[in-house]
Amino acid sequence: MTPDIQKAVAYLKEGDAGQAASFLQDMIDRMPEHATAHVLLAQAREALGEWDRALHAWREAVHLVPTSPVIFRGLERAARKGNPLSHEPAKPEQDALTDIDSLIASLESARIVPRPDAASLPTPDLDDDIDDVASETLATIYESQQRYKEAARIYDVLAERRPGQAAAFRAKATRLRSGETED
Amino acid sequence: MALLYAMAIAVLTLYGANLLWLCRRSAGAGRLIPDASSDLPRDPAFPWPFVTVQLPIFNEPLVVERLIDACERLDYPKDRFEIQVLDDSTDDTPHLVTRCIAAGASRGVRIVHLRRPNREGYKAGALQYGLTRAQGAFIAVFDADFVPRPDFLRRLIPAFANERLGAVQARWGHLNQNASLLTRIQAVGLDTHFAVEQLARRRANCFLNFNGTAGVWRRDAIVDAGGWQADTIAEDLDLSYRAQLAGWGIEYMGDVEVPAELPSTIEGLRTQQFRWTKGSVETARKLLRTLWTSRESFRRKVQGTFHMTGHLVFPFVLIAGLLHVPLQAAAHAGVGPGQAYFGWMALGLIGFAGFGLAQIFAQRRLYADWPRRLGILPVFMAGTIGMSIRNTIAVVEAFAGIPTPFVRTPKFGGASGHRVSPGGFAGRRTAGSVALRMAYPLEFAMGIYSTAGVAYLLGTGQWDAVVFQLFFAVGFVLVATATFREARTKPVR
Repeated sequence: MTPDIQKAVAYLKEGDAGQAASFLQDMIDRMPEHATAHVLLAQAREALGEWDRALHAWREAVHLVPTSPVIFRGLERAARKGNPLSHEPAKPEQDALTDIDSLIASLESARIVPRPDAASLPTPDLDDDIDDVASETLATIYESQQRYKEAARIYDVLAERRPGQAAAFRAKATRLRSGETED
Repeated sequence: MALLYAMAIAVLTLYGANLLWLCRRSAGAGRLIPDASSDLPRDPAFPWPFVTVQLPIFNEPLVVERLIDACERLDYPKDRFEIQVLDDSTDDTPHLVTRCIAAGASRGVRIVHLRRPNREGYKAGALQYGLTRAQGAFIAVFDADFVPRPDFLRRLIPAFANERLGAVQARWGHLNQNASLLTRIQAVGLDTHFAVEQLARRRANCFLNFNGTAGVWRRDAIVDAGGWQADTIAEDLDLSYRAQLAGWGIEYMGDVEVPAELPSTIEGLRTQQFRWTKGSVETARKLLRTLWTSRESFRRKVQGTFHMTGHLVFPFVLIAGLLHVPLQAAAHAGVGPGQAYFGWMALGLIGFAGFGLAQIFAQRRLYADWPRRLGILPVFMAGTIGMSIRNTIAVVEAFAGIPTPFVRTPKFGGASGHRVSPGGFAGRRTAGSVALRMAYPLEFAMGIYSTAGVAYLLGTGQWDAVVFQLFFAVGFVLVATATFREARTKPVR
């Protein structure tokens, strides 16, 4: 499970559906084809009683994973509840979360197997977004802008990414945090 | 067929040889390792002129804050510069901009948020619109993904002591060079432009180009040259040549580096390449006649022509890729051209050497650890070949004159145009032309075709031709598979 998804699940389990929904919406804006995110967003919308938006999220999910019974049930449920003729109070079903756990597990484990010729070629990283840009160049720019906290954060990321030079990067981060500068 | 192939190789050799010449002219320039910026003139009496920093933005929520922040931190007298955010965004970016502006205002930086009623003329239109409201005698331009260092203006502005100087261009650096194979490949290409081509043209007193961002213009030069015009999609190259033909100089400061993000997707790269290719051919069509009827020296004319038409190599790369194997096969079967023909074709190696050497020169000039970086060069060469289909389409579109109405761009972007633009100012978004969508299957087909060619040459023992063919095979397969995999994961950026 990706860290983002873990975070969203954590919000949901804590009952903070609002937070989960806005977090997931962000994620979907970045990765519109992330099926798990759509499923969780649908859950969050249900928990908030926003049945129309839940219905929309389930539809997106069905579009991406047309075979999942859990998603299909969700779609039906949201369609029923979203119907203004029914006056039932909105209440997520009991087994929803356990079902969801297994669905997430299966979605996350369903990796697309690359074609053999594609596997033999190095391919650019596509998932990393903003952290791609963590580089020594950026760190020194932040330093020259006197944004030492930002610079230190970049060095931390670099230390994680290049274990060989981790000690040097961490030393720089510490120096920056303690407020010393080169001059 | 043999004639066509010979012509393709001849053209490629010509451009390669030109690169060799540029290498020679740039030799001896020393290293460009950045940025020992500590000992700047700090004379408080220096009459720093008023500068307008223009930031053309289109839907850049992820980087806009970093950019504005960096510009607010420019180390320049606060009462001597203003920032114009030329914001054509249709998404949430304006909210972020508003927030940044509040922060800047609290620091005493003059910063204005300009929203146009429409997007006419795209980036050129936005810059021209900003120009009519700019107070500066000098105009600095940064695209959204650039991060200027605080000393940028202090280092560039003093060059304008030369009164015939129209613009100063700094060197692009890279923020995410090591993020992926794709970014490393692009870095090689840009490094070669900045550390060999620009540098050599500067030293040989040839025409230079403003690269659209990370430079400063003298306002009078822009106006004198006819302003920003939107009839080509390379408004930077276009203005550069118009200004230089009007007698203004352009300076290149290779030792001032402004780092930027490289497109991290092949889609982004594709769009950028498309814009540069189509735009430079459009500019060539627009200005070559003026160049050759001007009173410039012969050498400047020749170099200017090479410069503007550099992207014409791509159709010839494609022709070479298509014909190489059939010719070899014909020769093998004893019906095609003989040994002498291929002997002559081997002269193409001069061109090849030009391309390779320029890259090596650039890496050596820029990085202390350059020998370690050379491994990427064959991949870069192959990747460039792989892009030849899309870039050929760009060349064809430019020649077909897919309508780019002449927009004189007076005040508000002028008359309306129906031009299909690649969108996003930093050139990141899709160019949705039908011809371009055809590129995917064509690249895939070329990948198979070239790979089959390698197999054939290996099978028949034509070892001398295998290496050359391998470049085509690897190039097309690389681009096709990268596009394919990207399409499956669909990243937004």
